Amino acid sequence: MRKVLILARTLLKSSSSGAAANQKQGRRWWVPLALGIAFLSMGFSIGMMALGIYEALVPLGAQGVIMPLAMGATSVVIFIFGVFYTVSVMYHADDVPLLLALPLRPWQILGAKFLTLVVYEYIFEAFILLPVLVVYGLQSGAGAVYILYSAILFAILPVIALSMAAVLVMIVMRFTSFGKNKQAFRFVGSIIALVLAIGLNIVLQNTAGRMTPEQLAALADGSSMVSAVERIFPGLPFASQALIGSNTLPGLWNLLLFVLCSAAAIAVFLGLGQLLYFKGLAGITEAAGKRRLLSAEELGKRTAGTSATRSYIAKELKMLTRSPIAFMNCVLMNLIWPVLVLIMLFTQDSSFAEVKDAVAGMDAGTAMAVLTGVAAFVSCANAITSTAVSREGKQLYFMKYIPMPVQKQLMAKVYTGMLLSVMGIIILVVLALIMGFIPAVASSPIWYGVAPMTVLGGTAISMLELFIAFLQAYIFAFLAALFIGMNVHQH
Amino acid sequence: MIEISNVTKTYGGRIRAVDNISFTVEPGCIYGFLGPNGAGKTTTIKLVAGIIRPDSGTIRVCGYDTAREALAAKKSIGFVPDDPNAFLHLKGLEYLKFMGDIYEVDAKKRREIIGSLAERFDMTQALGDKIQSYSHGMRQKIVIMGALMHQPRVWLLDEPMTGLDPKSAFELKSMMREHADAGSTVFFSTHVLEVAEKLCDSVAVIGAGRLLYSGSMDGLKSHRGESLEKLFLEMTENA
Repeated sequence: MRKVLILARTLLKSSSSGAAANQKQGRRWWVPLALGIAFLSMGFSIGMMALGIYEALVPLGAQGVIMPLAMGATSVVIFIFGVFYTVSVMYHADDVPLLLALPLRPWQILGAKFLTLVVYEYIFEAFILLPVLVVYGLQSGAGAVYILYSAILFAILPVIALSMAAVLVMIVMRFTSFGKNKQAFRFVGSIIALVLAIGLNIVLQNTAGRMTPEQLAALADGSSMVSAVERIFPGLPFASQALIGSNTLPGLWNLLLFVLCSAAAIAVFLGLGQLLYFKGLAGITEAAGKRRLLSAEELGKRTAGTSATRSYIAKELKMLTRSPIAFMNCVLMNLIWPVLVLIMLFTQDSSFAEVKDAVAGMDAGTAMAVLTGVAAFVSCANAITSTAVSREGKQLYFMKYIPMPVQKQLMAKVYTGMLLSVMGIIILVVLALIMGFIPAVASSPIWYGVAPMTVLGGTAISMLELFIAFLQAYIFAFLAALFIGMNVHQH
Repeated sequence: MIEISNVTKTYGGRIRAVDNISFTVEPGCIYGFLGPNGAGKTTTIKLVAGIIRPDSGTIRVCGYDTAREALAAKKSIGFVPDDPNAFLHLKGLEYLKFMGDIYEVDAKKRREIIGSLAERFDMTQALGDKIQSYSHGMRQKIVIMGALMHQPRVWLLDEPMTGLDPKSAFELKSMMREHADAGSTVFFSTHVLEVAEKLCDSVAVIGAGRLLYSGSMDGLKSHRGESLEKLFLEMTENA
């Protein structure tokens, strides 16, 4: 057990220092600040939602429902992210081969990794569960026992959902080939994570103000979704009952029962891990290769010459679509937001009609201005040109040793950005059609003059972004040099 | 073919990575570049490749000044960096095609070159796969193949033997010899003194950014009559 704790501490330390080392250009003070604001606002909106539901349920005497609701939602989120975390931390992490060489048992490695995951999951708890705990505590005038129970439950709540996720992953990794290809997994994982995040957002927006108190009260009913969710995670009802009855003796019993259930979950996970973990690690590769001999014809076709610029654009497109991080941040982001707008419009039935009415009331000039503005926004909202140089990372020196002028290389990167922006604009046009923009605009002949202007505007913005990226890099390098210089001179 | 004259490169205004070095690499010669870790080998190679600019001094490759005629100089160089982990998301063949396009290699010629290099390096079955699926040695090989696509006169190789299996190392060494015998130049850095001893016609030894020796391998050994290892250790100890 001592070894587990030592290992867990080391793993946590190395992951946090690794994150710091990634910030090449000095400490970016605004990153934690921005994240803090984002989390706070998310926590605040969940808190407000909880308050709304709580107050709506008081007349029915069913305000306790928000507790299983929050616990169930948190557990579902922990479970889903737990599946991805488990694969990446327990199976795909670079330190795994190193740990296997140490004189440790499977359960010791798993135990330590599990503890680090529990710590990661506290982040989700902090902005989903914590606001509800605070709202319930304040509204019900709960005392010190409630705070104590809340702290204990906050600390051990992730255990059951995470153990279940880990057991599922261990079985899949042991008996199937799913998840063995790290690259493919990251790709699928990042897309699923994005879809989940969007889905969660939509659900939150739609449920908050729409449920009637009767519907809410029905949630607490045995047949409702909440209790179904609670039943998926064995022992979870004890947690909410412990808090609801924190002033009574059954509350204490429920708390103890929940602790017991959590301990049992860990025992099952570690026991199975002892059997399954090492064997499941076999066959994991960074990326799969077929090692197939290419025919002379294939070789000829696939090496046929094109101009340097076209080849450079093709290379940029391949790197953008094949690297999970670049794909997610540049390509997907460029295409997803018009889709997001569509989903929002269709899930909230009144707003769709509102937009359509508003467009119908616009004259051609206004409609065109709106459409042009949005098109320009789409073409510069993606991060393709602004990350054109920083994306190269350690391989930046490549740009310097090939016999292609840097201006040409940068233009190839701008063209790549424009090409993908056009895809975003196509989706926008479809969106505009649905909302009735196009008929409004097409009635005016000026449109045909304005449309090419949008493309020109997009190009100019792409170049401006590239320039800003350079300026930023220059300023960061300058400040870093200044900072290091000052430190050197002090000693 | 490579003329380095009074070149100095300073990092952060304080550390002299390369300190006023001058030497010439003649055509038809394999030139080894030796030195302990952090002596300035990679910096010198990057200076020749045009990746970084010297603070002072000039470098000429095949008669082209690397500062004023950068593109012409770069076209005459085949450069292999010390880290082969680049373009991991491209397939081997896509990478070679890309390099062929950038260096403007004729379509027919590139097929021949890819075919013969893949054969020699035992890479024929891996070309259709992503570089990410390659082992360290295979990544090294694909980078070497990319660098040789345009049949450059000057080979500039930073630790090219690292990670290669015995057969590929042997092939690369034979190719280096053939290249030099055909009147071209190979300039490469290495830590492995045995490789330098067997392969090089001339060597330069660098320590703490300063050039400690440059000239023929035979001259170096006959001068003192000691093993290269002992000479190297003596030379670099007080550098």
